[in-house]
Amino acid sequence: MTRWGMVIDAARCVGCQACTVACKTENQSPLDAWYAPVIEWESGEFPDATLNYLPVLCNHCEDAPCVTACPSGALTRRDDGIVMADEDVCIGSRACMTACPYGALHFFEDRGTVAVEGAPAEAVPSVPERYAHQRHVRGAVSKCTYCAHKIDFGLENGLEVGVHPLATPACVVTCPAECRIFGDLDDPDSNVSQYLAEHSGGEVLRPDAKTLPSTQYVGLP
Amino acid sequence: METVLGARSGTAYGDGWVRSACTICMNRCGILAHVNDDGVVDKILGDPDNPHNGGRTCAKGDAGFEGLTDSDRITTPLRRTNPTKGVGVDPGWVPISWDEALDEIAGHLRDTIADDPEKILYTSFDIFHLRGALAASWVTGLGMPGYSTWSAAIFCGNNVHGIAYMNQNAFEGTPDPTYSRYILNFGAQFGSVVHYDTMHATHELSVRRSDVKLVSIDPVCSSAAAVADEWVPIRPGTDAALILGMVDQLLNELGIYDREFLKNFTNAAYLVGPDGRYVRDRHSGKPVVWDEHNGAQPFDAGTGNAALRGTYAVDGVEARPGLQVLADHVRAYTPEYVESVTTVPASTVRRLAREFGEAACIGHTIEIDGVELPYRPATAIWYRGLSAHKHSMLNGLSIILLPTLVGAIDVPGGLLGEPWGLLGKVKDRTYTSTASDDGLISQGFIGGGRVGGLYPPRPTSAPRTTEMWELLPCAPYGTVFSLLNSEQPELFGSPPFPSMLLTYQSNMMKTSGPPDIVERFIQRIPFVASIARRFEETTMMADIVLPDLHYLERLTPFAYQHLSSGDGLHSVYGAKPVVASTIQGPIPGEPYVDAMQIYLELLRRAGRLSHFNEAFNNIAKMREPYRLDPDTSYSYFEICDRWLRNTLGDGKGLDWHLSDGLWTDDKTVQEKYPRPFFEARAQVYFEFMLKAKDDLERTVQELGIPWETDDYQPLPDWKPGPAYERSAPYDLFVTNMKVPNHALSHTHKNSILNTLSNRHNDLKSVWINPRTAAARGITHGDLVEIETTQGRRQTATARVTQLVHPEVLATQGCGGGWTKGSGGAEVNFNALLNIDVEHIDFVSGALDSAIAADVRPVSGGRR
Amino acid sequence: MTAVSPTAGGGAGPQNVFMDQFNLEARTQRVWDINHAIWFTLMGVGGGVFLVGRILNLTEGLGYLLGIPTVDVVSFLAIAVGGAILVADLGRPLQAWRAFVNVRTSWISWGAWSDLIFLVVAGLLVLPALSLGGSEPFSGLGWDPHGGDGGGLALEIIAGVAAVVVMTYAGAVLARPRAIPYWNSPAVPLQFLLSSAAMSVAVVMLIEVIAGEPVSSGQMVLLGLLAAGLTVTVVGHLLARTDAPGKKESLDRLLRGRYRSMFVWGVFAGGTVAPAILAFVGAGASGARGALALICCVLLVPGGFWLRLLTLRVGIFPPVHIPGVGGPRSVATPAGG
Repeated sequence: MTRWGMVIDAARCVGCQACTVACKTENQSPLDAWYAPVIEWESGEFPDATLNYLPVLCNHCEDAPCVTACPSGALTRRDDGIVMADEDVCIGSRACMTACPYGALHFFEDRGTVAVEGAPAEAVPSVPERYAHQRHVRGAVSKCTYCAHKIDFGLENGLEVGVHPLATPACVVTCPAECRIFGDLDDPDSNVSQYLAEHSGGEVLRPDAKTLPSTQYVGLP
Repeated sequence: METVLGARSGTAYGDGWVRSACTICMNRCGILAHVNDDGVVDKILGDPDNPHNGGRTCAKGDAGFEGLTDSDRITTPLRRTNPTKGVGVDPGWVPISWDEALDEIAGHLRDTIADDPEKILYTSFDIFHLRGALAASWVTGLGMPGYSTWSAAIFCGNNVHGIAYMNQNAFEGTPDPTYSRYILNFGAQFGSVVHYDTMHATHELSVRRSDVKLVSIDPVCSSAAAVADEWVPIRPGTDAALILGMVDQLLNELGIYDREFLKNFTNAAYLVGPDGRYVRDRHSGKPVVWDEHNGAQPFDAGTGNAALRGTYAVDGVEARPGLQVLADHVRAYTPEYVESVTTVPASTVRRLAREFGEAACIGHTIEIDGVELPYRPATAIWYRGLSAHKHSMLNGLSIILLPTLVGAIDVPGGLLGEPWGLLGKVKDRTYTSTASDDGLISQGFIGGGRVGGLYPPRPTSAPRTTEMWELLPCAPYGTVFSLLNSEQPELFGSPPFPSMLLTYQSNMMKTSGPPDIVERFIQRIPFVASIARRFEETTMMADIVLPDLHYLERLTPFAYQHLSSGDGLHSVYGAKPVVASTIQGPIPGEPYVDAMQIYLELLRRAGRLSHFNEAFNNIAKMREPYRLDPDTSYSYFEICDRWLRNTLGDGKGLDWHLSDGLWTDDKTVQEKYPRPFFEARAQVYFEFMLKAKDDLERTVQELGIPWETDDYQPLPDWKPGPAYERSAPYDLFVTNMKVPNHALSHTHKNSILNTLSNRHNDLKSVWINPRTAAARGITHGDLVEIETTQGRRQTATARVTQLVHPEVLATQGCGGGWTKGSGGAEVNFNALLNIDVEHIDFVSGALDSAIAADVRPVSGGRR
Repeated sequence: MTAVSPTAGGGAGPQNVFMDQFNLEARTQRVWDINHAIWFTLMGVGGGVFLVGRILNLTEGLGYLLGIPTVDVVSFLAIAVGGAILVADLGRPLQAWRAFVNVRTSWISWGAWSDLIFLVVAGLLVLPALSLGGSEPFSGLGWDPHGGDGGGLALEIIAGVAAVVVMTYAGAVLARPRAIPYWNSPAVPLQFLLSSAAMSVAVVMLIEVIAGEPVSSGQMVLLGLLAAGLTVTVVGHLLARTDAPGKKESLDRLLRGRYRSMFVWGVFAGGTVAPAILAFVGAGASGARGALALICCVLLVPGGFWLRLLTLRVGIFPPVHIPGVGGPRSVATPAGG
């Protein structure tokens, strides 16, 4: 059985936010929604201080609390492990947002500026945002999908998922530091399995939440 | 109108994807841009076939297509009707025809050329035109010696390019990302997505993270310092002291230096007399070295072992090898002294020197492509953090010593030159290394069409423009003097002021200094034309505006020629229209694809087309049958076609460029690591500075103008900059650094990147150390005002952080613009600068950017 | 280090619980606030009032509206209004029906069904008593609206069970996910249940006073026990796992931050301790009982609302990563499995 997962080598990340922007342009996420940001924090005291970077995104948990909490059935987990939000089914309760330990859900509020094609630039300033109103449903939540549309495209066209850029999540493709590896966690010979084996396994975020994330980390500070 | 488009197929990603190049920063990555069914560009990916970035893009490149569909693009030429020009003044634009606009500009060109072509000021930092033949030929065709990159010439490469040509025969040097194991980042951000060779280097260093030690010496923990293995905070403007302290350790305490390299590939052994000049052979006039058997003999006699240390008598005169003079000179830079100047602990000085020296693996070799080469995996990189200072050239001459002394120049692991030799030699690849009579690398700096210093220094003469480049024998440019002359015209006897300004992708009003100063400068120029896509700060000062293209609409061959040393492939590629511009261009019926079309039309109307053709033939090294006939008027497309065929072969003309356009080739081992294969020598003793000084002092005395020549010295020193002796309350340094999600100044209107910055609040903030903040009653999030000793002020949000030296106020990015679409609350760092003799380096033309300042909470203020 | 709030956005736009600033910090949830607090309170009172009335046999004799006991009317109105607020708060209110059709595991779905079942069943229950324009059109339905016969009792029990769920499910919604440690505790649904019950007893007492009926000593004892139980539960929750990441930020925000006064005086002292004391005092002092009942109601209902609102407002996610504290996947999944 295929179980898609991602390994992020936090030690390689340079905090450039390429993934953050690549995700936005790929998924045309609404307004201020960033499905795959890089969060940062300081540690230490001057002069032994530094800034740390941590790329985060939906963890596509095996025991996804968002799926459990969703009252409408909009959130489901595919057989291959990807947790999807069907925005047409979402009723906008935001229960998922309180249930997700990782902040992976984004609510496209149905108030404020309304996008109209041809509207002045201030109202809809960018191409992703113009298309956001076509691709995303106001009043619903949206989220990282591990670029399921690209994975499915790859599977349909015989492209190796996680390797061929058209069959790989946008954040993985763009990363200048090559800090993300994407592949089948259930295949011991896959790129992700091998990377984990080389690094003696991976860690997860919020282990206390016991969500069994498919996004794992090596090199966490 | 027939369109010219890059092919929407045939790339690694198939249909809908067009291969082109990104222009957002100097890296000029190869990209594939996607055009959707609506004909809209909705995605950019890296071109996986491009060896420079290997299919990867940064945040800026990912967001690059934003702006194509801005509703506030300039769509037609405009004329100003309000004669008043200034910040916030409404120009009163009225649309005019291209014909009228071009005729007027051409008229001014004619008049100015007839008077003095050097009174034309053309400023541009168009990345596609940089280092190519187009812009250089354009200005040469007008009769100008070169053009100005303006702000880049004030802060950027002042102490980089000349020095790189001097010791590396290249435009600049970057560490070898494939083999380096110890890299000192001095005021640079190599390894983060903020520098040259970014996509390549960041990748290599990231995947080899455990193999490389990156050390960032920086007043602020920048994004690169955050990634580095060690951040060494340092007081701004004092790096040279640390560097010379390390040189002292290497030469005098540790004895770590590459003796064979220094003897054979540098002037380290050249004997220097008490007057500081080479001791020369009586017969040949060549500099002599001390051979252990033969005594003093010409440097190229090649009989054995030239001495690097010691004192010798030559014809009764005491002489020391250059390296000995250097070693004696740097003794003053004890670790304790260095600590007192820099705040870097003495133990760190010793440790960094030892780590660097040991990491250099002197004597080791490595096999590359079957050839055994010196292996020196330790090096240093520097840029604006060292360059934008009063004693910029001395800073640069200090730091080049580090890789040179350990032999880490253009060998595996060392500092690699890019590009090598002259441009336009893609297929020939005859890498030249001219040696002067003294045996030294003597490739003058080539930039903006102009051949400049450092070595050999240019003869000096009376200044012909406000830039006074004629009085800068060792500088690549002197742009900042134009602003100084504007503020103090009498100071240097009123050199000729520009009669006209044509500016293209150069937002001088925001990027070069305080707006009021740049405003005054531009106000004095009788005629200003601006080619612009949106109403930028400088555009608003123009008399005539011409609409510009978005880079995804452009056709520019050879936008990038990646001909560097180091592992990997050569690559040459350009830009192609991904979508057709909807804006009518200068020539009716001809698709608008590049500003060159404007320039060709201007040249024709100004009667200078033949001059352009001849210049282009020379600069682009055109051969028959592709050479341009001087009396023929070629379209831009024809010129591109000929240029491509001439350079890459007959089968690779414009059609090939549009359907493919990526040329790569293997490198020979000599091309990868050239240093062992040529003889001309690098320098560790800069004797030529004395000659330059003599010449310069003669000239300025004749001219009767004041001039500083103190920094023309054969060995570098650290000298305090204008802010070093600061006093309360202006006892902090305000500095600026780059962030990885912006480049130059033009991304500050990209709404995707701005939304990202708003989340970070980087560009509106000033970083303050907690001790400093506490002493001034500032808490995190407060609105604060930065004020300099000259009373210049900026408001910012305080970010109280451990990531900054206690004496420093750190700002980010090049924001603070005031035209529509700008982030008005961003800090405008340039508005805090001082344009005066105290802040200008009279050797390199750099402007000191560590300004003495105070910071206070703004009462009642929280943003 | 507290981060500076972003200046962009202006209010409209997606509400991500904490990714709106790219910093690694404990973050407070902001998607559920006053609307939800009102909804929770109304559900608590709605379900509880019906239940208290039926169990203590107080439903009859405290006034009627169109033939329906006032107690039940208050219950129906509270739940209807609460439900309306719930639906209006949704991002896509017109799609609210979907909560009913794909129930699966969501406490909100279960709660919605309970609300519906309660309204329908309790509505059916009281329907025979409905009096319109002098006549009772549904009096022919075959059960006793006062629960006296088999049919009526069955409906009463079903409605009662639904009412218990209605009183409690809000707490279950909050408590089940492990994302917010302060919420992830059986103490929360227990608090909501006890608070709902106490508020409901007090509201019924209010209806009694308005109807001119005496409040019994037993009711006061019951109220006192519920309020005391609530006090113990609140204290217990504050004392448990105080060092857990996320929990300690919540406690800070509750006890040392801007909500300190409202929590200590409004929720704790005023909303639990004082009513408990007053209730026990009132159990003995029959003359003052009416006045004390009113005071308890005035203390308990707003106190209950603030309990729910503050619980929401101190719902804090700990940082996704604690530097230096890593954790493997808690259950090793064999590769290829």
